[in-house]
Amino acid sequence: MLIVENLVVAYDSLEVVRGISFRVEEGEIITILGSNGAGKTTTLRSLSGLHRPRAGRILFKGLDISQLSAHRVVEQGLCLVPEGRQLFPDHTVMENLELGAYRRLRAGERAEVRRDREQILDLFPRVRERLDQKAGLLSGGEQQMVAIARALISRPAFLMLDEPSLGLAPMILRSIFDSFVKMRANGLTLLIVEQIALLGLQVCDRAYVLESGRLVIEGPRETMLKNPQVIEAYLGKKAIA
Amino acid sequence: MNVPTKQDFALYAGMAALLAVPMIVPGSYYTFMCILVFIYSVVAIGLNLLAGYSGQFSLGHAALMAMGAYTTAIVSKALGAHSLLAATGIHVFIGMIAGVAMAAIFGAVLAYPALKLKGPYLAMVTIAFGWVIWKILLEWVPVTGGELGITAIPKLRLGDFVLHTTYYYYFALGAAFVGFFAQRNIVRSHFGRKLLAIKHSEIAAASVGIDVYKEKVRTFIISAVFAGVGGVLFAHQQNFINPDNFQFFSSVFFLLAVLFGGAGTLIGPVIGATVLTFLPELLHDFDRIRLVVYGVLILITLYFLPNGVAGVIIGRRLGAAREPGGVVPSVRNGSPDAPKPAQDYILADVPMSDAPVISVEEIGRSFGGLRALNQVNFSVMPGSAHALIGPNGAGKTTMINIISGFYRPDAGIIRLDGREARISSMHAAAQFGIARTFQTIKLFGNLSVLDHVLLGFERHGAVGMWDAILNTQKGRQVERARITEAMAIIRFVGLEAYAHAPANALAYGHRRLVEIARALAVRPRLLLLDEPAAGLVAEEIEALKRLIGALKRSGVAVLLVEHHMDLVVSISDQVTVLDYGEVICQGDPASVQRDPRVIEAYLGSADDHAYR
Repeated sequence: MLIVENLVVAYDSLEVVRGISFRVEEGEIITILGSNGAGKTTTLRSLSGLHRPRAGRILFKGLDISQLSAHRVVEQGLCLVPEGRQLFPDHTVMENLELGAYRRLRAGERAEVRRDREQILDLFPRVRERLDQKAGLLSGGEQQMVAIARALISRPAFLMLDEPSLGLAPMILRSIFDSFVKMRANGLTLLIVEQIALLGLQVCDRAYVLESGRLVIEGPRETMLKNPQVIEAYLGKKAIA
Repeated sequence: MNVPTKQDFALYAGMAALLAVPMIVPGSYYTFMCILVFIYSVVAIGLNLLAGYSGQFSLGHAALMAMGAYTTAIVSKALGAHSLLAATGIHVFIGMIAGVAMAAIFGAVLAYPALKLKGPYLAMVTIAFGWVIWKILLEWVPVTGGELGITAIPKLRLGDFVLHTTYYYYFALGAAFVGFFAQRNIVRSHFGRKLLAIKHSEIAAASVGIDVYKEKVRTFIISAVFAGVGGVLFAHQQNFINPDNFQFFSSVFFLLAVLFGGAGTLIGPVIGATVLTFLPELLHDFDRIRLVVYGVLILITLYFLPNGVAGVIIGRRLGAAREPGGVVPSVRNGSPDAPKPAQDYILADVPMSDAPVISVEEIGRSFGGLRALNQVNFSVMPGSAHALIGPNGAGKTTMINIISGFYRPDAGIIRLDGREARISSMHAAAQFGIARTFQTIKLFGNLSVLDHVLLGFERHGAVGMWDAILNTQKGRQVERARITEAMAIIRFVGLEAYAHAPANALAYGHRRLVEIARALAVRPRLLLLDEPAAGLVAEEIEALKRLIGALKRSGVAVLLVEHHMDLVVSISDQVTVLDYGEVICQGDPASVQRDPRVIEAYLGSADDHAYR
């Protein structure tokens, strides 16, 4: 579904992503691990059209999207939930969700949107409680939930999440990551960047490790969970005990 | 810093060329025009400090200039009637000082109420001020001469020596130099750093103890002084002034000069003033099309020159000089580079005692109808870590915001060292030795990591404003000492490789460490950390644990909001659990983890453990 070939992304003269290649098949959940500064966010930004790559190709369903601007990329069905939420603070939570469903509502999918919304709100009971409040008044974790909900309601074919766990309480984490697996069953493809490595690895089909702008380790979930390098650097010894 | 750069040489060469102008240019007309350039440059430099560096826009600077011009005209004419004063020429100097003082006073009168407002309102207020002053100049005929203005303003003189055009040229040039170097000193000093910080994030600036309102008022007054200097120079050059010289469009002229030349650059306002002064010379019938020309220039600047002419020049040079990895240290090869905090750093001035640093008692706070906090009690001992946990929206960050002075509680009291404390603002909290980080990171844009930490010294012994403007020996010494101290803190949090990198270019987790380093420069007795581990990988969380451990050992009390239970359990001495704004459990980490209410509301059942 997504094929990335020799992607190079740079800020001025500084190459942050130094020629990475990977692919995501339809219906897969892929997790990218890596420490701060490894180039994960930059990769997602270039995939979503927010930062034009210096070199390489990004093929989405056979179409090279590497030179498209962000809104054209969204039209192709790729959606990014950026780190740091970015809601419309003066709109209510409900309005934020409706803005997420804007394209679908315009296409006349009113009933389907309502059904999806109910499903998503079941996932986030806390968001349901706050539907009429302005998004800017929500706590950080609640805003994170709304940001994910808003992306889900737009029904992208391909969803990219930059640190979905950021600021979320342990209990809600489980239901959110479980929901990713459920959504995959509904035909969604996911690319997740996650710092809580165990969480990211447990839900994925395959994972990549990005270090200093290069992909250094890759493999299916089971192999990754047992890889000594991954355990040492990302899972931490405690997680294994 | 003291080694002359290419830029300095260019500056000195330019200065030498300017000194030669009156000798080279035939006739007095162009000399006269150059004097105008110097005068307008002084005003534009003042406006640049305000608009370009601190981000406050004024459209009333022509009126402030008018205060200077009219005051010196009236005073020097009145004093000129005394033969003794007139013979020495001192009457003009007294008038000039009075004029600058009057501009400063009106700047203060305008700034105190206006700067309580934000964004476009300040611009609106200054526009209104400009119109009012202009109307008063027109209507108060006995004093201002109304439409005809004031004529026969005395020339600047020293005894019998009258400063005619050529000599006045040097006088105005001197004023422009002084203005330029004052601007340079301000911008390169702690004071200038503060202005930039305020421009980028007022909240974060307040959190390190900067009194944002006071600094903005000070900047406005300094800016008014520059306008006043421009005004008095103008009056004694022109020999007659009238209200038309100080219309609203003159204010637009100065703002345009700053934007076109390059707001927030040293040379920008000078370039802008020069171009805009000579522009009418190139165009016939300028007055008829003045508004069109200004409008087009504004559009050109906004569309094509977002950083003005100076931005283009400086940008190109920087682009050429930037080596790969020269600005941001390149991503290192090899294993993930988790920061490794030094263990030896001890914070000064932390008195050890066995009384709580802070205790909050029966704290309550509502937003609209929503009860965010209700009867919350807890205390934090020196040298200990206290964790605040709970579901999203439980009121944890609200608690941090109350302790750091961002919100006021509706009910309850806060005791610091056992005494009831009214934490009325964020900078007041810093004064008490309370520093914080933010859940959504608030940095000062592209200021370097080092600058961020230096800003944290605001509360104790940063360079004073006058030492900054005059660039005194003492000021430089203090700055050097602070840099040494700041580098120690940067090493302590493990960011030494990035000390000179712009903070906004760092990765998410490193930006969190910048916030911690900035907070440590406040030398806090109580450090508030709002989700410090969010966005860190396992190895980095280990480093954070060591860092918090070292802080505890040096006597700092840490209050943290965090969801990473692994971190919470390993570093906290006490844990308070909030749910819907109420304390549902309190105790040591182990007992809190076993508490059924906590498991139900927050942690989830046993099979969720993998997710923590």
